[in-house]
Amino acid sequence: MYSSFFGLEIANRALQTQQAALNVTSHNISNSNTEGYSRQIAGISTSGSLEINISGKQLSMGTGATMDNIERARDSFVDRQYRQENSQYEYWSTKQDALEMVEGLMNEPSDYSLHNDMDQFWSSWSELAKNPENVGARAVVRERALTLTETFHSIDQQITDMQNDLDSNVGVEVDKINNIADQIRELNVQIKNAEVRLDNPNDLKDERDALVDELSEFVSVRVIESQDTSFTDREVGIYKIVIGNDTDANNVLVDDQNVRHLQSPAPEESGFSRVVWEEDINGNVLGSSDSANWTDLGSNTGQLQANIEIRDEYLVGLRSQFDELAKGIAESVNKLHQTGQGLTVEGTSGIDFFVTGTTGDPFTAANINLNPVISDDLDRIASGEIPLTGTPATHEFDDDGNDLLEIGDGSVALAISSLSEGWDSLSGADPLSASSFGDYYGSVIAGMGVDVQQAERMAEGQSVLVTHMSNQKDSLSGVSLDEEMINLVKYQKSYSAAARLVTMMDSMLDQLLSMGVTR
Amino acid sequence: MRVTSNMLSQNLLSNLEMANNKMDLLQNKLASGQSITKPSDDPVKIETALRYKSTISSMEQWKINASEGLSFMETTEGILSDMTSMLQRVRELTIQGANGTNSISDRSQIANEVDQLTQQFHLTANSQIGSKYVFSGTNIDTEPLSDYPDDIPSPPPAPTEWNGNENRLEFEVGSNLSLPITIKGTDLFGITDNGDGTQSSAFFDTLNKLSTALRDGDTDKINESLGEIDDHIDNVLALRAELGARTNRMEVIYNQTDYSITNLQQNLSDIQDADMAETIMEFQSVQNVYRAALSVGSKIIQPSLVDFMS
Repeated sequence: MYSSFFGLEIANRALQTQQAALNVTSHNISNSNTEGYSRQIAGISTSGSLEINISGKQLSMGTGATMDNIERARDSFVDRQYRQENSQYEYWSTKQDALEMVEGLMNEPSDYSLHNDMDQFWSSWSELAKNPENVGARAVVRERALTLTETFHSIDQQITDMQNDLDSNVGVEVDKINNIADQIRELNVQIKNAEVRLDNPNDLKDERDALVDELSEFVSVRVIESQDTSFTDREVGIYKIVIGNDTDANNVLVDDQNVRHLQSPAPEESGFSRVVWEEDINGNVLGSSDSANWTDLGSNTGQLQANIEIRDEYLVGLRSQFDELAKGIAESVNKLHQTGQGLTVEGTSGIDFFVTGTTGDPFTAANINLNPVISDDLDRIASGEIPLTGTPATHEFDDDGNDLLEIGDGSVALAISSLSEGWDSLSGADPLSASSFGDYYGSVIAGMGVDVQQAERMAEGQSVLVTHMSNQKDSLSGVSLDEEMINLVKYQKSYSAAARLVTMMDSMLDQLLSMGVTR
Repeated sequence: MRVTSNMLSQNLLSNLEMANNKMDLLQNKLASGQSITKPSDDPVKIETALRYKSTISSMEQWKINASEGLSFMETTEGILSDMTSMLQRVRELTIQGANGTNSISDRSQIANEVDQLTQQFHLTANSQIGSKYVFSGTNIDTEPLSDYPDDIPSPPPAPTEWNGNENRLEFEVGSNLSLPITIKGTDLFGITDNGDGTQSSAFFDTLNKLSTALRDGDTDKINESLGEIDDHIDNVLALRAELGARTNRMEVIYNQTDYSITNLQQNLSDIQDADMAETIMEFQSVQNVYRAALSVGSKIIQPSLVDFMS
């Protein structure tokens, strides 16, 4: 037999359960716009049944409902895919941003670009070839040469500035990764404590997932979840995070309640910050000078790697192309310039037109400069050939016994001017592997355009994938207000009904109690 | 698939952003009038465009060179034409002087006129175009003949020093193509090097001989000079013909270069200029998409069950 008041107990449980479910719904509605929130589901189940004996039969009678658990709607597989695509998206979009900056720095096609400066430089020599005696034409050659060298310097400087910018990004990102790792470890501790208490800390887990999502912007990240085997009677998880190349045993960032850090501030090696673990997985301190110790970040993932690649590979390659171009121009012009003289008599060979800061240094975009002798004395810009006779060659003399000076001879200036067309005026090996300086530059610019295009397309493609995955995630975990409203009505009705149950029990007991009363 | 209101608004936002991006791109094209504004718009086209620009830049310079060369040659031609008529006058005077009926004073009058013309030829030899001495080869800053003294003796002495050289000025008018724009002063005035640091001029020698012969009444010498003057006239005419031929060639090159520049600019424009009509059409269609997205968005975002519950 069971108590006559048992019905009240069922009604009480019903009221409590429906109220709890209403609270879960309210929580969902409140957090419908919270980043990283997963909707929670009230797990209502029947409470244990009661065995009663009626007419010699054993019957199980229900005892109402109870709130078993509160689950969050989340799929770790979708999370993993989302993070993977997100890492790649961030890689390409960071690359795209950087490359577009480089592209903007070239200012092509416009009238204010290196290409234009080169064209003008060659034209000024053609003008000089025509009027070698004209000081105006000489001044134009000097100014055009200065413009050209300044443009080279400015390109080189901007490449350096960009490298430094990217380098400081690397430092900031290393700090962020460490910071996120610390927060995740903290959450791991709290979640574990809760799980040991048989709690299901949904909101803490959401917070942890949001942090891992953020981490996936910087590096590729892989989450490994397993059961803590020291607890046999309850489910307690171990949460491990591996970043970068996940086959590298060194790349564990967080393992349960332990956290590993990257060296911060990031150690500098050959001028740039490097990403290095504080110590390897066996506890040995890692030096930053050996590139084998640098953290393996995998391929094509995350902002960190994009920044490092642009800084160490792309910009370095770009600079060497401009160095090559500057060197080619300087050496070719010098070679021809040395064979000539301008309005003053040179010895048996002329002077250099371009010089580096230090004699003997190879020419680069940074150090190509107009020979200061020429900027001081325009007469020394070579325009014609030095008239030589005999062996060893000596300067030819004019009728009055002075060194011969044929001012109208523009052949050297002409030869320099025709460098714009190709290498015909040069003897010996071609300075560049292109048909002219303009062509070489054109191919550099076109190559850059292709790189930007690739990054743009990849970023666009990845962005579609990320949107898709994010929709997938939202489809499962996002809060739908319609759904919550329906739940609200559902639980509210049940609550009202349970309240009716109490009223009904009340009148039933009234009836029962008034049975013995005589009127 | 379960669809939440957040998904709807996210999708709407990203679609609007995409439309905005397209509009920005097209707006850029329309405002700049160029279909490629940066290398990544079309790397292949940009390379071609750069090459065209270089070629146009060189050609513009060649065109300027050719035009300057032409005016130089035309001025030279003017000088030569004056010389021809002056030589014709010398010839007339010579024939007049060869006539045995001339009195001494007549002949000295004729000789005086020849001397005046000789002085003029001397000035002609030192002609300048701009800052350049036309007949001194590449010694363009030096007078080929040193000036006469203030009181010129009669007859004016033939020059003994020629300061010009035999080189010609060349202007670059094409790829690896340079054309001479001067004629050799040494050819024009028959300069020969005596090997002892002095030069002599057949042209002035003749004039000197003629002047002396006229004063002396030496008919044989006068007749001999007549023959030489005819040779000089032929020489000047031959040089004029050569210069004329070169002027023609220069003109042809000028016109060709001009034509090529126009063509190349046309090509460049084909590559880098935006097709306005097409771009505006595209813009209109993107704008429509954008408007549609906005209007649909305002309808789907707003209502939910909340709005219908009392």
